[in-house]
Amino acid sequence: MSILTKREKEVFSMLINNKTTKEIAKELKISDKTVRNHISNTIQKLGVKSRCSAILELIRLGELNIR
Amino acid sequence: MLKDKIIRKIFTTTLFLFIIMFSYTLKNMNKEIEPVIDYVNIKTNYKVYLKDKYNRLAINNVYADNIDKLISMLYGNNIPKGLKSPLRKNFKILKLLKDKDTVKVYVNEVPERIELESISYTLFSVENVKKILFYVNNSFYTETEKDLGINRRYDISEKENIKKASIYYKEDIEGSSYFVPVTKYVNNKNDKIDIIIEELTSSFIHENNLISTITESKINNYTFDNNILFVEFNDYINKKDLESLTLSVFENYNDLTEIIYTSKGKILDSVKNVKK
Repeated sequence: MSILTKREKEVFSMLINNKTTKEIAKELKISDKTVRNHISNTIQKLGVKSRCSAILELIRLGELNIR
Repeated sequence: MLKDKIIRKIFTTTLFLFIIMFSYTLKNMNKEIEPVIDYVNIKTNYKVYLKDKYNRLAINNVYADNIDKLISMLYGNNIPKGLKSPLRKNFKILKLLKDKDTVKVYVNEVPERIELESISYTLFSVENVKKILFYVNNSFYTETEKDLGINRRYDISEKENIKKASIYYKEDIEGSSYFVPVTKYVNNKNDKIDIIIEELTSSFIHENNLISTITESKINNYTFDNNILFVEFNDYINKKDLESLTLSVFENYNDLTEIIYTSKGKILDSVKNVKK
């Protein structure tokens, strides 16, 4: 079972493709604030301190895939 | 009366047969299922990914040419000096089934990362295998594809431009040479080929005993043309020293059919992708 929700996974998949918060919000048709909330929730779940650390941890766990 | 006798006889016989069938069924239910290795017809050599003394997965020029030998080598039988089985003692590969480009692997317990990598990469070396499905006690566990990553290393400081490339380094153990693939995650805007070349030309020694053999050379240029990669060196380079680069490139560019190495207008070596 994934530790991320579907939306959280979508947000982080776009983050690693160099999208900004604004661009992610526009593409997913949600607010900037909601995007930031998804990122904060994920950071908290993983017990890390930054977006970069979260990405690293998610790659290690196999939750995110870099092609 | 005769009718009663016949009916009683039929009833007794039927009951007797039923008891025998029931006992036979019960007996087979309690019987332990022996692991079965299903064969796949092999047309090419496999590479077997085994563990070195630093607990990294490594390969050398010893290959298995059928599934039976392959499994046996993964368990540590008839393997080169200096390498060990990557599988735990109680870990069992019960069955392998191949269906087009997918191999289903049935095991008895949840595989550790190194077991997942060694089995997956060993099977990926088989022609046309692109996906592995792992089943633990017949329940689906996970799926791996060629971009799984092996002996992973992370060198990421920003969230932008995260790239992944698998690089094969050389390792010498007890007089024999092996190749150790390392999947590196880095921040780099360039293509995988640039990351590979940058890594292999940057330094002779990398972590614990990993060597790059092309650090003395300079690559003038490279071009992709119709699934062939042309690499031009500024000077002569020994064919053997090109092995790391060849393995790395084919690992990252699955569609490539050939690499042609040149220097000063002459072909140094030409290597075909054996999986194509």
